[in-house]
Amino acid sequence: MKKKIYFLISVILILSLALTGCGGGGADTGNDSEGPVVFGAIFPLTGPNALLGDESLRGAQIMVDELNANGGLWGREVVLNVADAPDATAAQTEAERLITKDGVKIMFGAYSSAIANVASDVCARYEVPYFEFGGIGTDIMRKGYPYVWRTCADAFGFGTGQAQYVTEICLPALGIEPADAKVVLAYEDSLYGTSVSEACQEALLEFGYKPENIKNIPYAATSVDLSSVILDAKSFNPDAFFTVSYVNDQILLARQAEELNFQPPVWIGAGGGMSMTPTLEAVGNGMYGLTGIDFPQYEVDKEKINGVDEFVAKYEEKYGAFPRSGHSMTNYAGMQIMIDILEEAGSMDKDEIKAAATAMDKPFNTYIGGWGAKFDETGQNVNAPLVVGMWTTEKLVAVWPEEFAITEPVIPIPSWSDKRAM
Amino acid sequence: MYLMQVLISGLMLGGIYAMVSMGLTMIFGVVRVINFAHGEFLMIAMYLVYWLNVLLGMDPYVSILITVPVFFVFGVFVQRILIQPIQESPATIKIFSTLGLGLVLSNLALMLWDADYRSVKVSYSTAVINISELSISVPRLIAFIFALLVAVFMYSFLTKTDLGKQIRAVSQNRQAALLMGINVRKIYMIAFGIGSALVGLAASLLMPMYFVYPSIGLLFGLIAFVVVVLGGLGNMYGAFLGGLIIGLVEAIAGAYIDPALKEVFYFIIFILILLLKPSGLISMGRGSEEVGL
Repeated sequence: MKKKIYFLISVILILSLALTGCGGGGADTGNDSEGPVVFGAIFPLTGPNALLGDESLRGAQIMVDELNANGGLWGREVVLNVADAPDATAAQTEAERLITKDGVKIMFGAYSSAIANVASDVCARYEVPYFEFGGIGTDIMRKGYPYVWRTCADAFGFGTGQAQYVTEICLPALGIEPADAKVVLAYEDSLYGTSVSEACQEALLEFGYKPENIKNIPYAATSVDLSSVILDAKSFNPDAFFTVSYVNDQILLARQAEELNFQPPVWIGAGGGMSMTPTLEAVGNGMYGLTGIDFPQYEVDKEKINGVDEFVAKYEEKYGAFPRSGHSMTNYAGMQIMIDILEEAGSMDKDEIKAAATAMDKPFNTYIGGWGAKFDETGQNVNAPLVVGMWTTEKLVAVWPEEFAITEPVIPIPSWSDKRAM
Repeated sequence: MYLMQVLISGLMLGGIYAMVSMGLTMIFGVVRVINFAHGEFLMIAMYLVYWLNVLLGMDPYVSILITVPVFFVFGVFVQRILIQPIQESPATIKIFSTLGLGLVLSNLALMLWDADYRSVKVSYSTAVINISELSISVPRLIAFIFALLVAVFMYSFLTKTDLGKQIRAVSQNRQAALLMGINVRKIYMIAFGIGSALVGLAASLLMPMYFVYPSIGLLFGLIAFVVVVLGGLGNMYGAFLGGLIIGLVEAIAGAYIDPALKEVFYFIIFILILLLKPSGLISMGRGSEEVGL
């Protein structure tokens, strides 16, 4: 009988390993003055974050291909040593493996903040420079690691951006002063939701909103029903509805708001489910007029913003389809910045890299999609762009800030029945 | 008015939970296998509904005619291939094999269809009936009515028909049933098939309001276990009642206490039931709490 158990366990283990595709591929070692320059790349390529992890890696890969076609870095070819980290535990072992076994001298990643957190820990321990291109969790940069940088905006930027957009654009359009405005902040209760909404709340108070006019509704993103969130929000009758959600809960919030006829004049999300096409597909015209803050997407003012169409063309050439989200462009920008720093540093020496990063001062729109680069003392890029997009019946179009905007936001959002009639 | 709306939302949610749980209670109560792949069955069934809609333009409600028989056969197949050879083994082996099946199914879905969220486009997905200020979602109401009908139908099937009586006999005492000349293996396959067919039905009813992705099974699977234990293993009315109770608890706790804590309350109920009345609200008799052990 025991034998049978062990046999079954091993069959299951082998099957699950085979199907989730664990284990990294063979790797190039050596970063000396000869041969290719190796960058360690760590992303979730299997598991629940696989879709956007892969999308992120694609952007970085396109930039590296382009670099190699133009003579590479320091006249040498650049090669990515890619590690798959579906979760934080895997990130730990994979980051260790990249450094100790494959000997990579620089690493980037990771899309997911949880994975970025662990990968940056490991890199800091070995004093290997680490660049985060996509994870927005605030604590990644708060640990004071000397050789960790983030090229994209963080949760703090998302939250304050939400508050700023609503205060500067929406309230004047509604004819309401911040002191009289009532708002509801509904957010999923993991690190992502809480850190963005905390920053948002802080900014709202600074803008003069009254604490008693701000209602917080945290919820679990794994819920299969969010009617209680909607009913709670509806009974508060807010002027603006702030959400921080993944795809699953964003779809539920929108659908159940329609079912329960909750009609906030302004609805602003923060990345996650609000910027994703599957949300539009599930909710349909009901998404019209809803807004969300995020990294720059593809529908921005291309007269003023650099390189978007060229990037899409390169992406389509390599992968045969339109980018699945803005994450690829975000990582492309991150890679542009990292390479600029390395060009400047002239070697893989961590202190030379630090000197180059610290000295960097590129204004907005130096790189693709409006990206600039200027790092504060924690290593956070303060010139990373954020854009508010509004859903039309077809796509997410930029409405704020002015340099990115293609159209004016629709305030207040039309009623659910009007949207269904569109 | 607010309370009424909360109660309606809770009842409608309870109908969904009941619908998802009734297949599990059948397998749980009769075959005495804790089917950890239940949520993944639901996920695969939802993909079937999705593809029938995308490829053939079939309405999710019409797809009931396909999902129910397909999943009956699927259930029979799983019982015959996977469970029957280990029917006599200890519970741990059955747990491992259904858990493994669940892993295989969810990773298969990830491999075949990516991690994308997919939903069917139907005009009535957010349709609402308004009674003064109360709103009732039409697809939720339909799911609720189906759950009620299935509970009534399954109850009369199990008590009135010959086959139903055989199924109950097997679930109450396998040895005695075997001695009475009941083909236990066949009954197991039929029971697993029915349980799986009910999952197919649930998928058709869920797709108009939900969406499918490879790990959605986790969301519903866990709740189904709570509902089944609460209602009493193998009892259709128990599952229906359990579903409604969990739905109402979730809605009321969410509305009056804190949406972030609503799960806490039904897990407290779950633990209390396990401590105080492990055979569930509607008990199937002594020993029925020791399912699969």
